[in-house]
Amino acid sequence: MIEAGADIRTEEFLLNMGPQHPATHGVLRLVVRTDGELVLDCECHIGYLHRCFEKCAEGNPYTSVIPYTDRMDYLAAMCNNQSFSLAVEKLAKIEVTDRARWMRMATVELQRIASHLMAVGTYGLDVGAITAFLHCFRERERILDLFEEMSGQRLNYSYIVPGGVLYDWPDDMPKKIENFCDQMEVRIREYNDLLSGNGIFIKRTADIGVLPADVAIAWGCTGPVLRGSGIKRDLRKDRPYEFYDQVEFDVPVGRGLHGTLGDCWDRYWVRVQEMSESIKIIRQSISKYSTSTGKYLTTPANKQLRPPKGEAVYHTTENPRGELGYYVVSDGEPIPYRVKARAPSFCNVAVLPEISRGTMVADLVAILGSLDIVLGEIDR
Amino acid sequence: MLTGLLLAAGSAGRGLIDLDLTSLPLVGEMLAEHPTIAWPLLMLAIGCGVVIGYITVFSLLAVYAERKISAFMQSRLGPMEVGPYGLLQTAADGLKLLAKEDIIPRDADKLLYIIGPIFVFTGVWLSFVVLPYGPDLIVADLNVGLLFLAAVASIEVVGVLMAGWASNNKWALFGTMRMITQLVSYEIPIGLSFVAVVAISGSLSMQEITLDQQGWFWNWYLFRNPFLFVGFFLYFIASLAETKRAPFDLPEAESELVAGFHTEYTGMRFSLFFLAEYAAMYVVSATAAVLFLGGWCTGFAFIDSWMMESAGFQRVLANVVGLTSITIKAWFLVAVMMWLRWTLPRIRLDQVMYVCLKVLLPFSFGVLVFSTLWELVTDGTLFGDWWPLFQFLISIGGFGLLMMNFMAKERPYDIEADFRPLRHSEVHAAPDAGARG
Amino acid sequence: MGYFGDIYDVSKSILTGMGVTLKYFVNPKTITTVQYKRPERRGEGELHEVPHLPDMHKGIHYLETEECIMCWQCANICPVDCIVIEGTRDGEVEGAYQGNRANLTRFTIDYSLCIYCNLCCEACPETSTCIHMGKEFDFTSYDQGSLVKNLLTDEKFTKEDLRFTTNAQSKIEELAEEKKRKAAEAQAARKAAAAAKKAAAAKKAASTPDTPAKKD
Repeated sequence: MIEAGADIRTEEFLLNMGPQHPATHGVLRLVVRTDGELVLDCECHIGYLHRCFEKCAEGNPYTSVIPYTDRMDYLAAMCNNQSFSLAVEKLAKIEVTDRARWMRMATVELQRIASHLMAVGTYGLDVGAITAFLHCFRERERILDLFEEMSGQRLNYSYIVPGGVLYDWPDDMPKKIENFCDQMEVRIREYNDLLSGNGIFIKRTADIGVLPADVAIAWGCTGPVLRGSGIKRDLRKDRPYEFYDQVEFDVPVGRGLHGTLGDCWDRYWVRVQEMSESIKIIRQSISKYSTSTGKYLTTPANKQLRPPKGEAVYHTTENPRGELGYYVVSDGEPIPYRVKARAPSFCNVAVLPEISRGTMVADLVAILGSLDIVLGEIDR
Repeated sequence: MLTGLLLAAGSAGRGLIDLDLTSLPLVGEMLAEHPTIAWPLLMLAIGCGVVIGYITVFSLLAVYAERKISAFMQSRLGPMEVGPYGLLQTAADGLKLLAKEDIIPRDADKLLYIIGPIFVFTGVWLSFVVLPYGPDLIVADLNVGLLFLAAVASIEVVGVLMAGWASNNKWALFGTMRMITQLVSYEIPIGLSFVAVVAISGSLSMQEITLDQQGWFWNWYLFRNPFLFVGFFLYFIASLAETKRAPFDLPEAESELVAGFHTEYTGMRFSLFFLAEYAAMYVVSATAAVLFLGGWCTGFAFIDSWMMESAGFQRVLANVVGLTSITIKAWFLVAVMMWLRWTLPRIRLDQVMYVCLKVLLPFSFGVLVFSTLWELVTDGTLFGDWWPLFQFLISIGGFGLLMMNFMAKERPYDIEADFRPLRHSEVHAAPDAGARG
Repeated sequence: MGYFGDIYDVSKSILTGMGVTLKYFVNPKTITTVQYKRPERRGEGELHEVPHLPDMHKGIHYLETEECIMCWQCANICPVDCIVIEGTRDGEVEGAYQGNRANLTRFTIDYSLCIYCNLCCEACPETSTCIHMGKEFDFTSYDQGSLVKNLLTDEKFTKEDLRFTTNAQSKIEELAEEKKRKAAEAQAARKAAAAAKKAAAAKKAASTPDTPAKKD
């Protein structure tokens, strides 16, 4: 018989979440120490999707590395292409025409919307709202249709290459993108009705997984995860590349609208707002694109790039998931001497044990979803 | 023949459970002594078969309906490949489940693992005994029907506990614990809703509760008084939790617990859980229809009186009408359950408890107290014969006011303010954006 | 927001969400799924025709055999090395595919490796006239080995094809040997001729010492 007031010790429980688990967004393995439904500690085990990206990049010509960057963050392949291409352009001093830059900006922002749609949708799925997920996928599918018309691919585009983009746009592309933007604005409102403003969703995500700003900085979090904690850090504003200094857009940050600043809902909300900011950028890019001139590609794909020997370049861009950096070293050969990638998801997932202690198992899933990781990029 | 069957079943069961089978031959002897008992027994067997068939057919249709409803809500087509418009998809899936390998994990508790799904299914199956489908269509009109319903619903808890514990799987254990917490807690608001109805009907018999709601549809208990109107919604929410439908589907939350308590089950054993879930949906919906929506009554006084007075062939027709009426009502509620499932996120375990103990429990208790008081004060005939209509109007009016409030433009959570999309015209009209950076 | 306010807000937002799903449910025009036409359900003519595919679509490769010059550019740029080219530019191999400048015995792409990046087509010096990507995409099989396509016949790479390429290998080597020998012979002949010329010139120089020979 248990005496009243006595300390009832319960046994701890080691739960192996993943690598095959619907909520781990790929093949992340979490070893969770639980006390009933409470998470006492959790540990991330990564590496199940390791494909030697960096080593492969050392054995391929610069142009052939582009398809490998697609597979890094496969939900934002354009952004990876762009980041690597910018690094190589800086390395080999390749000029890119204005027109190609505007094209790149529009496609990358479309990709950002597609990626955020995926993040928002799967986050809905993580907390159990299946319809929002499929509605998001429907719009993502429309973006993929646009990309297919540009590049012929639906997921791994290899579209942005050093020197511009691989193919020119069809004539009606700007109009199609405008149409999409018009629809997307309506859709975002619908997502808000369906998911963002849903009371249950807010109760599930507000005040959960609070990531204070100093912790976020200490763990090297970037992107919406950092901005959700209220820090206005966006490389598109702070260190503009392409023509981001010529377009008008805001950087949404978390404001703790329904709970503490830096909770899951803030991170989610930053993504939803970024979609509408991306629409602004796309509209401006399209209107600039139609007045700009120049070739879409300055260096043909079959031309071997030989950057000067001993040069090294580190270039970072704002991926949908955070700061994506490529460090490329040349030794004068047509293949890079060394390529190192700084993957945003890798740093973002590291903070998970820190913010998930003391939550419930269902919250752990919600927190993981709000970090929006892509295992292809973590394990590379 | 029946004795033989029973004996065969008994000897088959002897291998698994050490049953005392000495009583079984007694049935045979009894049958020989009193041949009149054979007919009710045969009827019982046929009834069991009919109910199992009904559950299966309902589940097949409900799964198809759920797939199509979800598909249309998600701008998809749903199943389209097997049969016209995918009508045979669920049948094909059922066949697949039957043909699948039956796996019992090595470390599972074999006995409990096997009888767990049977318990779960039996609990739901027994509920069909007291559901009335027409003036004469009821398997057993027990005078404690509602109590029986509440009692057999609890058998499911035992079955789930057996299944989840015996699986020897951590996810299954999590699902089981969640399920038991949820089912046991939600029996209280459900029971209080039952009591609120019983306090008015004065009977626990399902058939009598139905008969009390005859006449025009404002005689239904839903509109009996404004408090029971609220009680219906409370019962509906609690029954969502009782059947583990969204937003209370934590026991089998696939994004958290893989598949919950039936993670380890395959083939036929899994389909027993599956059938039980869909059958439970039907049971709670039909119960709601009986308790609040007039059961098999049609809601039109002249039809109802005809149904009661008819005889001979017309009586058969009346039963068919009653069956149609309750089926439509139950299906409508099932459809609403599906609608909710495909709209809402899942809530957390502590929130499930919050909703039960801090929202549903006080509210349903309030409903019980105030609706009884209302009945005492108005005595059912405050303004003569038209009083039920007045009560109906009061309920509907209150509901309409609430709905108008709900439909107002502004959203409850102020999030739209964060958006100021740049329109196309603004982009072109804007001054040189490059200067600002 | 108190207790009742919370309940009110949550139920209101639930109804808002249900309104959205109901809107989609009752409006069949919102269905965006396009039913996939399985190969066995297609008519005879529309075997590989899917109407909504854009022009850019990257499908399975096709090769203009006549144009191929066997430059290995596509195989070299391929990030996954899925292209195998065998053949010769030295002479004729019996049964090989006759191009304008090369005799191809094998040109296969392993579709279990191919990532459809289109770099092979970009690298092709004939600017996408030699190897190019079609619109066919449903290239399925029950085993990995039969995912290799023989671009010379536009069929699967069969065992007979493999046997043929293996047999042709010796012939190709023979031709290469022969060419080498011929080249060596030609070289030798040229050398001999040069030497003879030199000797002749030297002889000439020797006979006329005032004009030194300056020819190579």
